[in-house]
Amino acid sequence: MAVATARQSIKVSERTGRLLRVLAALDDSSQAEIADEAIARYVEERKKTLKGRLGEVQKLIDEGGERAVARAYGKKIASRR
Amino acid sequence: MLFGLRVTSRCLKDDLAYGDDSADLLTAMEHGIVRDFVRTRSSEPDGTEGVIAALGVPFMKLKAGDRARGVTLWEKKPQGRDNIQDPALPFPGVVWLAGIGFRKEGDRGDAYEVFARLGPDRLMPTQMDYELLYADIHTATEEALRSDLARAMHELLERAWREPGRLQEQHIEIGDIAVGIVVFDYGEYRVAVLPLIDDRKHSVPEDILLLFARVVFGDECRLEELEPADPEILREIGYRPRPTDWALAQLREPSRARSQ
Repeated sequence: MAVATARQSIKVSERTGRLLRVLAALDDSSQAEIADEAIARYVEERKKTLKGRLGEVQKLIDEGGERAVARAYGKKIASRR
Repeated sequence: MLFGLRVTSRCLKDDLAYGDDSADLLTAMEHGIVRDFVRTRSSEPDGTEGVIAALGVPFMKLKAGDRARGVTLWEKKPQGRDNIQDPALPFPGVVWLAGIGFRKEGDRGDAYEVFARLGPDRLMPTQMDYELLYADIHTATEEALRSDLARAMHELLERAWREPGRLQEQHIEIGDIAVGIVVFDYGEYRVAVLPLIDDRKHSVPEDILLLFARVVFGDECRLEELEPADPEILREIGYRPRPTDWALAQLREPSRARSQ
Protein backbone atom coordinates (compact mmCIF):
# COMPACT_ATOMS: atom_id res chain seq x y z
CA MET A 1 0.00 0.00 0.00
CA ALA A 2 1.13 3.49 -0.74
CA VAL A 3 1.70 5.58 2.33
CA ALA A 4 1.33 8.84 0.45
CA THR A 5 0.93 10.31 -2.99
CA ALA A 6 0.99 13.90 -4.13
CA ARG A 7 0.16 16.25 -6.89
CA GLN A 8 1.57 19.61 -7.64
CA SER A 9 1.72 22.10 -10.45
CA ILE A 10 4.94 22.04 -12.37
CA LYS A 11 5.34 25.32 -14.09
CA VAL A 12 8.07 25.52 -16.64
CA SER A 13 9.79 28.89 -16.72
CA GLU A 14 9.36 31.24 -19.64
CA ARG A 15 12.95 30.55 -20.67
CA THR A 16 12.37 26.79 -20.65
CA GLY A 17 9.17 27.21 -22.65
CA ARG A 18 11.00 29.26 -25.28
CA LEU A 19 13.82 26.73 -25.48
CA LEU A 20 11.36 23.88 -25.89
CA ARG A 21 9.72 25.76 -28.75
CA VAL A 22 13.13 26.12 -30.43
CA LEU A 23 13.75 22.40 -29.99
CA ALA A 24 10.32 21.60 -31.41
CA ALA A 25 11.00 23.87 -34.40
CA LEU A 26 14.26 22.03 -35.10
CA ASP A 27 12.40 18.78 -35.48
CA ASP A 28 11.86 18.72 -39.21
CA SER A 29 10.80 15.13 -39.44
CA SER A 30 7.37 14.51 -40.91
CA GLN A 31 4.75 16.72 -39.33
CA ALA A 32 1.79 15.27 -41.18
CA GLU A 33 -1.46 14.90 -39.28
CA ILE A 34 -2.10 11.34 -38.18
CA ALA A 35 -5.45 10.00 -39.35
CA ASP A 36 -7.85 8.86 -36.61
CA GLU A 37 -7.92 5.28 -37.84
CA ALA A 38 -4.10 5.10 -37.80
CA ILE A 39 -3.59 6.46 -34.28
CA ALA A 40 -3.79 3.21 -32.30
CA ARG A 41 -1.27 1.42 -34.48
CA TYR A 42 0.96 4.50 -34.61
CA VAL A 43 1.04 4.79 -30.83
CA GLU A 44 1.97 1.14 -30.33
CA GLU A 45 4.76 1.31 -32.89
CA ARG A 46 6.04 4.57 -31.47
CA LYS A 47 6.27 3.13 -27.96
CA LYS A 48 8.47 0.34 -29.29
CA THR A 49 10.66 2.77 -31.21
CA LEU A 50 11.01 5.07 -28.22
CA LYS A 51 11.87 2.18 -25.92
CA GLY A 52 14.71 1.34 -28.29
CA ARG A 53 15.80 4.96 -28.43
CA LEU A 54 15.92 5.16 -24.62
CA GLY A 55 18.39 2.25 -24.73
CA GLU A 56 20.48 4.03 -27.36
CA VAL A 57 20.53 7.23 -25.31
CA GLN A 58 21.62 5.30 -22.22
CA LYS A 59 24.44 3.74 -24.25
CA LEU A 60 25.57 7.20 -25.35
CA ILE A 61 25.55 8.40 -21.74
CA ASP A 62 27.57 5.35 -20.65
CA GLU A 63 30.14 5.92 -23.35
CA GLY A 64 30.48 9.69 -23.40
CA GLY A 65 28.35 11.26 -20.69
CA GLU A 66 25.56 13.80 -21.11
CA ARG A 67 27.59 15.78 -23.63
CA ALA A 68 27.59 12.79 -25.98
CA VAL A 69 23.79 12.89 -26.11
CA ALA A 70 23.82 16.56 -27.08
CA ARG A 71 26.55 16.00 -29.70
CA ALA A 72 24.63 13.14 -31.27
CA TYR A 73 21.55 15.34 -31.38
CA GLY A 74 23.52 18.19 -32.99
CA LYS A 75 24.94 15.86 -35.61
CA LYS A 76 21.52 14.49 -36.47
CA ILE A 77 19.85 17.89 -36.84
CA ALA A 78 22.72 19.46 -38.83
CA SER A 79 22.83 16.54 -41.24
CA ARG A 80 19.21 17.11 -42.21
CA ARG A 81 20.28 20.22 -44.15
CA MET B 1 24.25 29.06 -21.47
CA LEU B 2 24.30 31.52 -24.37
CA PHE B 3 24.02 29.85 -27.77
CA GLY B 4 23.11 32.79 -30.01
CA LEU B 5 26.62 34.28 -30.00
CA ARG B 6 29.30 31.88 -31.24
CA VAL B 7 32.86 31.63 -32.46
CA THR B 8 33.40 29.48 -35.54
CA SER B 9 35.60 26.42 -35.13
CA ARG B 10 38.01 27.79 -37.76
CA CYS B 11 38.41 31.03 -35.81
CA LEU B 12 38.97 29.17 -32.52
CA LYS B 13 41.61 26.94 -34.06
CA ASP B 14 43.41 29.15 -36.58
CA ASP B 15 43.04 32.64 -35.12
CA LEU B 16 42.94 31.95 -31.38
CA ALA B 17 45.15 28.83 -31.50
CA TYR B 18 42.95 26.56 -29.41
CA GLY B 19 44.05 23.01 -30.17
CA ASP B 20 41.32 21.54 -28.02
CA ASP B 21 38.01 20.79 -29.79
CA SER B 22 36.10 21.60 -26.63
CA ALA B 23 37.02 25.31 -26.79
CA ASP B 24 33.99 27.54 -27.17
CA LEU B 25 32.78 31.09 -26.61
CA LEU B 26 33.23 30.80 -22.87
CA THR B 27 36.82 29.63 -23.28
CA ALA B 28 37.55 32.39 -25.78
CA MET B 29 36.23 35.10 -23.46
CA GLU B 30 39.74 35.35 -22.06
CA HIS B 31 40.44 37.49 -25.16
CA GLY B 32 39.38 41.12 -25.05
CA ILE B 33 38.02 41.13 -28.60
CA VAL B 34 35.76 38.17 -27.82
CA ARG B 35 34.43 40.01 -24.78
CA ASP B 36 33.81 43.01 -27.03
CA PHE B 37 32.02 40.72 -29.48
CA VAL B 38 29.65 39.56 -26.74
CA ARG B 39 29.15 43.05 -25.35
CA THR B 40 28.35 44.70 -28.68
CA ARG B 41 26.52 41.92 -30.52
CA SER B 42 24.24 41.10 -27.59
CA SER B 43 22.17 44.14 -28.48
CA GLU B 44 23.23 44.98 -32.03
CA PRO B 45 23.77 41.78 -34.07
CA ASP B 46 25.43 43.53 -37.00
CA GLY B 47 27.40 45.96 -34.85
CA THR B 48 27.90 49.60 -35.81
CA GLU B 49 31.33 49.51 -37.47
CA GLY B 50 30.06 48.74 -40.96
CA VAL B 51 30.63 46.11 -43.58
CA ILE B 52 34.01 44.73 -44.64
CA ALA B 53 34.29 46.18 -48.15
CA ALA B 54 36.23 43.30 -49.68
CA LEU B 55 33.68 40.74 -48.52
CA GLY B 56 30.38 42.61 -48.55
CA VAL B 57 27.23 41.81 -46.56
CA PRO B 58 26.88 39.94 -44.22
CA PHE B 59 30.54 40.24 -43.15
CA MET B 60 30.74 43.06 -40.62
CA LYS B 61 33.69 44.73 -38.91
CA LEU B 62 34.38 44.34 -35.22
CA LYS B 63 36.89 46.74 -33.74
CA ALA B 64 38.40 46.31 -30.31
CA GLY B 65 41.09 48.61 -28.95
CA ASP B 66 43.65 50.16 -31.26
CA ARG B 67 44.46 47.20 -33.49
CA ALA B 68 42.39 44.12 -32.73
CA ARG B 69 39.88 43.47 -35.51
CA GLY B 70 37.26 40.85 -36.17
CA VAL B 71 34.70 39.82 -38.72
CA THR B 72 31.19 38.86 -37.65
CA LEU B 73 28.13 37.66 -39.51
CA TRP B 74 24.54 37.50 -38.43
CA GLU B 75 22.59 34.52 -39.69
CA LYS B 76 18.91 35.12 -39.08
CA LYS B 77 18.11 31.60 -40.25
CA PRO B 78 20.97 29.17 -39.56
CA GLN B 79 20.88 26.48 -42.26
CA GLY B 80 17.68 28.12 -43.47
CA ARG B 81 15.85 27.36 -40.23
CA ASP B 82 13.28 29.73 -38.77
CA ASN B 83 12.49 30.03 -35.08
CA ILE B 84 16.00 29.72 -33.70
CA GLN B 85 16.33 32.39 -31.05
CA ASP B 86 18.37 32.47 -27.90
CA PRO B 87 15.99 33.55 -25.10
CA ALA B 88 18.75 35.78 -23.74
CA LEU B 89 18.99 37.80 -26.95
CA PRO B 90 16.52 40.24 -28.52
CA PHE B 91 16.95 39.02 -32.11
CA PRO B 92 16.50 35.74 -34.01
CA GLY B 93 19.29 33.54 -35.31
CA VAL B 94 22.98 33.44 -34.48
CA VAL B 95 25.86 35.91 -34.67
CA TRP B 96 29.17 34.26 -35.52
CA LEU B 97 32.60 35.63 -34.77
CA ALA B 98 34.27 34.29 -37.90
CA GLY B 99 37.76 35.76 -37.81
CA ILE B 100 40.18 37.70 -35.62
CA GLY B 101 43.38 39.54 -36.49
CA PHE B 102 45.30 42.78 -36.08
CA ARG B 103 45.20 45.96 -38.10
CA LYS B 104 48.54 46.43 -39.91
CA GLU B 105 47.76 48.75 -42.80
CA GLY B 106 49.75 47.99 -45.93
CA ASP B 107 50.99 44.68 -44.50
CA ARG B 108 50.08 41.28 -45.91
CA GLY B 109 49.21 40.20 -42.38
CA ASP B 110 46.64 42.99 -41.94
CA ALA B 111 43.40 41.54 -40.50
CA TYR B 112 41.21 42.76 -43.35
CA GLU B 113 43.69 41.45 -45.93
CA VAL B 114 43.64 38.07 -44.24
CA PHE B 115 39.83 38.03 -44.06
CA ALA B 116 39.64 38.87 -47.76
CA ARG B 117 42.05 36.07 -48.66
CA LEU B 118 40.08 33.58 -46.59
CA GLY B 119 36.95 34.66 -48.42
CA PRO B 120 33.31 33.94 -47.61
CA ASP B 121 33.61 30.18 -48.03
CA ARG B 122 36.19 29.74 -45.28
CA LEU B 123 34.68 32.36 -43.00
CA MET B 124 31.20 30.89 -43.05
CA PRO B 125 30.26 28.41 -40.33
CA THR B 126 30.82 24.77 -41.22
CA GLN B 127 28.71 21.67 -40.71
CA MET B 128 30.63 21.10 -37.46
CA ASP B 129 29.70 24.60 -36.27
CA TYR B 130 26.03 23.85 -36.82
CA GLU B 131 26.34 20.52 -35.04
CA LEU B 132 27.76 22.33 -32.04
CA LEU B 133 25.04 24.98 -32.23
CA TYR B 134 22.25 22.38 -32.08
CA ALA B 135 24.10 20.47 -29.36
CA ASP B 136 24.25 23.66 -27.28
CA ILE B 137 20.54 24.32 -27.83
CA HIS B 138 19.85 20.79 -26.63
CA THR B 139 22.06 21.25 -23.59
CA ALA B 140 20.55 24.65 -22.75
CA THR B 141 17.03 23.18 -22.91
CA GLU B 142 18.04 20.20 -20.80
CA GLU B 143 19.62 22.42 -18.15
CA ALA B 144 16.60 24.74 -18.03
CA LEU B 145 14.15 21.85 -17.84
CA ARG B 146 16.22 20.05 -15.23
CA SER B 147 16.32 23.19 -13.14
CA ASP B 148 12.54 23.71 -13.37
CA LEU B 149 11.72 20.08 -12.69
CA ALA B 150 14.27 19.60 -9.92
CA ARG B 151 12.60 22.33 -7.91
CA ALA B 152 9.11 21.05 -8.64
CA MET B 153 10.02 17.40 -8.00
CA HIS B 154 11.51 18.29 -4.64
CA GLU B 155 8.31 20.06 -3.63
CA LEU B 156 6.27 17.19 -5.01
CA LEU B 157 8.18 14.72 -2.88
CA GLU B 158 7.78 16.88 0.18
CA ARG B 159 4.04 16.96 -0.35
CA ALA B 160 3.92 13.25 -1.13
CA TRP B 161 5.19 12.63 2.36
CA ARG B 162 2.98 15.29 3.97
CA GLU B 163 -0.42 14.64 2.47
CA PRO B 164 -2.40 12.28 0.27
CA GLY B 165 -2.66 13.54 -3.27
CA ARG B 166 -3.32 13.03 -6.88
CA LEU B 167 -1.44 13.00 -10.12
CA GLN B 168 0.03 16.24 -11.36
CA GLU B 169 -0.75 17.30 -14.90
CA GLN B 170 1.07 20.18 -16.48
CA HIS B 171 0.09 21.79 -19.76
CA ILE B 172 2.86 23.15 -21.89
CA GLU B 173 2.70 24.13 -25.49
CA ILE B 174 4.01 20.87 -26.89
CA GLY B 175 1.32 18.83 -25.17
CA ASP B 176 0.28 17.56 -21.77
CA ILE B 177 3.12 16.31 -19.65
CA ALA B 178 2.30 14.64 -16.37
CA VAL B 179 4.58 13.65 -13.54
CA GLY B 180 3.55 11.72 -10.45
CA ILE B 181 5.25 10.19 -7.46
CA VAL B 182 3.84 7.55 -5.15
CA VAL B 183 5.74 6.97 -1.94
CA PHE B 184 5.83 3.50 -0.42
CA ASP B 185 7.55 2.36 2.75
CA TYR B 186 10.28 0.79 0.68
CA GLY B 187 10.73 3.34 -2.07
CA GLU B 188 9.26 5.82 -4.52
CA TYR B 189 7.32 4.92 -7.60
CA ARG B 190 7.93 7.66 -10.11
CA VAL B 191 5.65 8.03 -13.15
CA ALA B 192 6.00 10.20 -16.24
CA VAL B 193 3.12 10.43 -18.66
CA LEU B 194 4.25 11.59 -22.07
CA PRO B 195 1.84 12.41 -24.88
CA LEU B 196 2.91 10.82 -28.15
CA ILE B 197 0.51 12.89 -30.23
CA ASP B 198 -0.43 16.51 -29.61
CA ASP B 199 -3.84 18.17 -29.84
CA ARG B 200 -3.39 18.75 -33.57
CA LYS B 201 -2.81 15.01 -34.06
CA HIS B 202 0.83 15.56 -34.90
CA SER B 203 3.73 13.61 -33.40
CA VAL B 204 5.36 15.17 -30.36
CA PRO B 205 9.06 15.35 -31.32
CA GLU B 206 11.03 12.33 -30.20
CA ASP B 207 13.90 14.42 -28.88
CA ILE B 208 11.59 16.28 -26.54
CA LEU B 209 10.07 13.05 -25.21
CA LEU B 210 13.51 11.55 -24.62
CA LEU B 211 14.66 14.73 -22.91
CA PHE B 212 11.66 14.70 -20.57
CA ALA B 213 12.24 11.05 -19.71
CA ARG B 214 15.88 11.75 -18.84
CA VAL B 215 15.06 14.77 -16.75
CA VAL B 216 12.13 13.22 -14.85
CA PHE B 217 13.93 10.00 -13.94
CA GLY B 218 17.32 11.56 -13.34
CA ASP B 219 20.89 10.34 -13.44
CA GLU B 220 20.44 7.34 -11.17
CA CYS B 221 18.01 5.72 -13.59
CA ARG B 222 18.91 3.22 -16.32
CA LEU B 223 16.73 4.41 -19.19
CA GLU B 224 16.44 0.99 -20.81
CA GLU B 225 14.96 -0.35 -17.56
CA LEU B 226 12.01 2.03 -17.49
CA GLU B 227 8.75 0.12 -17.66
CA PRO B 228 5.14 0.84 -18.54
CA ALA B 229 3.44 2.29 -15.48
CA ASP B 230 1.35 -0.10 -13.40
CA PRO B 231 -2.34 0.54 -14.25
CA GLU B 232 -3.31 -0.14 -10.62
CA ILE B 233 -0.99 2.56 -9.33
CA LEU B 234 -2.08 4.95 -12.07
CA ARG B 235 -5.66 4.46 -10.90
CA GLU B 236 -4.57 4.99 -7.31
CA ILE B 237 -3.14 8.37 -8.13
CA GLY B 238 -6.26 9.27 -10.05
CA TYR B 239 -4.90 9.20 -13.55
CA ARG B 240 -6.92 7.86 -16.47
CA PRO B 241 -4.53 7.21 -19.35
CA ARG B 242 -5.48 8.44 -22.76
CA PRO B 243 -4.79 6.06 -25.63
CA THR B 244 -2.18 8.41 -27.03
CA ASP B 245 -0.18 8.64 -23.78
CA TRP B 246 2.95 6.73 -22.88
CA ALA B 247 3.17 6.18 -19.13
CA LEU B 248 6.66 5.21 -17.99
CA ALA B 249 7.63 4.33 -14.46
CA GLN B 250 10.46 3.39 -12.18
CA LEU B 251 10.53 2.07 -8.63
CA ARG B 252 13.46 3.59 -6.81
CA GLU B 253 15.05 4.01 -3.42
CA PRO B 254 13.52 6.71 -1.23
CA SER B 255 15.05 10.09 -1.96
CA ARG B 256 18.18 10.86 0.01
CA ALA B 257 16.84 14.19 1.17
CA ARG B 258 13.87 12.58 2.87
CA SER B 259 15.68 9.55 4.26
CA GLN B 260 18.30 11.69 6.02
